[in-house]
Amino acid sequence: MQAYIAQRILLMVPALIGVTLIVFIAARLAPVDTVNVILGDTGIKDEAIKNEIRSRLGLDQSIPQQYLSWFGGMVQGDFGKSWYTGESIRTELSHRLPVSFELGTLSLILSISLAIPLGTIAALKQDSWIDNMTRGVAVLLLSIPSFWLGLIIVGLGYYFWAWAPPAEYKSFAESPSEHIRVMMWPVLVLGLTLAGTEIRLVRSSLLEVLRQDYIRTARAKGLREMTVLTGHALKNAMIPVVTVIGLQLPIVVAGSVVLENIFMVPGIGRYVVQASTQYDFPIMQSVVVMVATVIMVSNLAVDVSYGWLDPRIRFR
Amino acid sequence: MSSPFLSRMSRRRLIRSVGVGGVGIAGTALIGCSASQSPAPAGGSSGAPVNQATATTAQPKQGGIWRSQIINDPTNIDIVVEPSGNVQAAHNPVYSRLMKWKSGPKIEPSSVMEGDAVKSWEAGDGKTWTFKLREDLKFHPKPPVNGRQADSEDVKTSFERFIKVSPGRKTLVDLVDKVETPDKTTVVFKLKENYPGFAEVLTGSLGLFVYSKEANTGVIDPQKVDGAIGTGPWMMKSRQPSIAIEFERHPEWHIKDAEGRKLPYMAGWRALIIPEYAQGIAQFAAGQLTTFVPKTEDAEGLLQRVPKAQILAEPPADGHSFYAFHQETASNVMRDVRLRRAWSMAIDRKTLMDVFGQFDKAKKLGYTLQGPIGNTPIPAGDGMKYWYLDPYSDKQGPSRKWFEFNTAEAKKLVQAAGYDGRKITVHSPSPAWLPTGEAQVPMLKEAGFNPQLNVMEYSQYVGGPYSGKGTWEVAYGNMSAWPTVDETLMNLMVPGGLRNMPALSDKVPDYTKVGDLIKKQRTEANREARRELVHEIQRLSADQMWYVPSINNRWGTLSFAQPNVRNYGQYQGSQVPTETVPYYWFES
Repeated sequence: MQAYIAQRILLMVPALIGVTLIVFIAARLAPVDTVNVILGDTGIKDEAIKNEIRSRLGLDQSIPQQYLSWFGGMVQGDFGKSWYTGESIRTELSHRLPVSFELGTLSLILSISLAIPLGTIAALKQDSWIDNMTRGVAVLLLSIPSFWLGLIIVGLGYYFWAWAPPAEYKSFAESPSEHIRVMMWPVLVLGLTLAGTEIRLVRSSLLEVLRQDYIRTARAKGLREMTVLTGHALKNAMIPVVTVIGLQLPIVVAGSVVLENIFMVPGIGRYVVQASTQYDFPIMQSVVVMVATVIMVSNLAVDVSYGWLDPRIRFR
Repeated sequence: MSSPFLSRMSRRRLIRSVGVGGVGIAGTALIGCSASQSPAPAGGSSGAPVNQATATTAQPKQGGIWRSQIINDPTNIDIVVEPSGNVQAAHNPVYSRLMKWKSGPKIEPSSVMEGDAVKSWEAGDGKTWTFKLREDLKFHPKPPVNGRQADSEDVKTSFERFIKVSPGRKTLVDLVDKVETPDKTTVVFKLKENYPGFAEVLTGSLGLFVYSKEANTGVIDPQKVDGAIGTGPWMMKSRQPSIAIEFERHPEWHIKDAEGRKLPYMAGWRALIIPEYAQGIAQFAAGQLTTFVPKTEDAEGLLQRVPKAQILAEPPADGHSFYAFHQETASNVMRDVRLRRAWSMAIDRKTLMDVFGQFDKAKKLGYTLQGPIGNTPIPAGDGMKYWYLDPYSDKQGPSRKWFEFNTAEAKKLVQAAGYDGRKITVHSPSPAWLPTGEAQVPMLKEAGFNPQLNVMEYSQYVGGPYSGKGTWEVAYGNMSAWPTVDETLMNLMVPGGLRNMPALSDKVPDYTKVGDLIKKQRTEANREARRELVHEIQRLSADQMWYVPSINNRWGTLSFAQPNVRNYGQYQGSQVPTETVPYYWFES
């Protein structure tokens, strides 16, 4: 197992270098003159001023030099500076990452807390009204885009009660109650929309497992139904569910771009939106590399968890 | 005038076909920047205006927090480093300019100039401008400046930093030869040439502000909250990215109200960063925002939810909306003046303005919204009111007819020019222009043109059509207004101008006379005589139609304020933090 993990981690290195190359080159291939964007409405045509800005941003260097400078900094934990604000990207990420992490983690916890019991009940009561209703709710949650649900919450609050979610984010340390009031809405929306997929997966996976021979054997041994379910069925049914949760993990880091905008949560998503409208490539590059890293690590974690969930799976 | 276009395409169909999204969003953007405001609106067709904001004579109360919306995070708080509208929201409450526009009940915006940091000024021979600073001009009580009196060295070093660092330094670099400080309260600007409009340049919202010597020499960093120390009405308290910018009132702001009471009345100002329109309107309904500009079609619904909200009909913010025709592109058919005139006559501006501005929705509440059409190149709006010549007035002379909607006449001009129906590419800087652009395409086609809209990548647009460079035929977009009429003319109509989009020069037929008049108005000291020159420039320029005025975002809006705000709309000015908000107060 340890050798397998070490091998996977080693393989991540060239993959990540590949990601940095692709992201960097894609940004440089874009038909965008960042200096023009920065000067925007000022209408400056003076090449001396433009060169001044290019030099400040390091754009006067060759492309390989620019890449090496950025990559070298990143290896040391320095993501560089925003082209627009001049602020350190690492500092900004250190403020925003915990916010998105909290939003993503709480949403995932909410979705799993809903999906496992509801999916299990639906599977155990297959084709009953409970099953039909649960499936209906799951399909509904699956079909509704999170941004739409978010806007509907804001819209209905406005329309019927002239209500709005809190206008200002407060950290938990500043005001626990205000913090909960701010975060509960995006967490609820994101958690519900993630739960749709998970409910259906838990149900279908559990139905399949419940038909396996080893479950029949467990029942034949005279084990209680609850023991059969928790001790033998659920754990095995979790493999596809864990795979999907692994795919959902990048949300924990990158945040939900649209929901952060709608509910005014100052996370990574809003940072990226603003950066993309301003062609602030260092920010976009850094966030993409960060998300890629999380995807690789979460994939590894998912793969490793297979062995724990089903001892028949062995790693070589 | 009857509209043959409308006989085939009903007004309702036009509304449906083009949509009206973005109207309110654009309007919302006015909050926190520099929306100019109109006098109290006149009654509409369906009775008296509902909940019209009115003047109050009651005793102002101190306290309360003004809560406004910003759409985007300001990317900086130092306008010298980044002179953009986005930065103004964070910067301009903190600092004073040398000059400002007077605001107050019954004072027309941008009509009376007065000192901001200065108490008096003299033009001398037109080349030497002497400004006397106020004795009560004090910096914010924040270390290391600690509320000391601002002096002439602060102004001189601010100027030096500005011309060294600011990407927007061109105007002052071109004008000013040197700055002298004979004593602590006197600043003398020696200009390179006689320039009667110099004081007006100093009212600019992206121009020269008074920073401390400490900021100008690097002792403190004006890009940090702790270093944002000015003499303006608001002290920056905190800046939380993607959340809010918080200001406290400057306890020793030099400007007082008519009774000598200290301003601002409010204890603070919180500018909340709310990117979503839906959130903005909901926050106003929930009482979390003090003001809000809804889409006009949402105004009635908002009023139902905040029944005692005060409403103000506002004119569009100062700025341009036009088509520009590149004169240096040899293959451009639009170099023919007949085609440019036909282009202008093909557009039914009145109907478009009515539809996109949703004026009927405002009328239901008793308000008549404004949608004035700009002249060329002077925009309609409060900022340029003195200089603007209404193109539909008799004073416009013979070129008035080119502004009138007349498809039949436009067709004749197109035929006379021998236009062969080839594709004419119309470039825009973003999809935001498409709704109004697409609504004009059928009108232009009706006149015989074959326009094709094309959204250009923004930086390419800025480096190309927006700067008058490259090879292109037509550009369609908006442009922020310059603070003075001279900067408007010099930048839009003169070779080397920052936004000389058509690439006008003496090589362009019929330009020389216009160019000479632009030079002449620069040195005309008599304001009335200068205005007549500017009017003549508009007449001649309109006759050539190098720019054809359009309507995008040129419509007025309804602005809402919470019921407890007093003086709302009575103090109007293009600089909201200095000329407007300090005079507002809360009844409760």
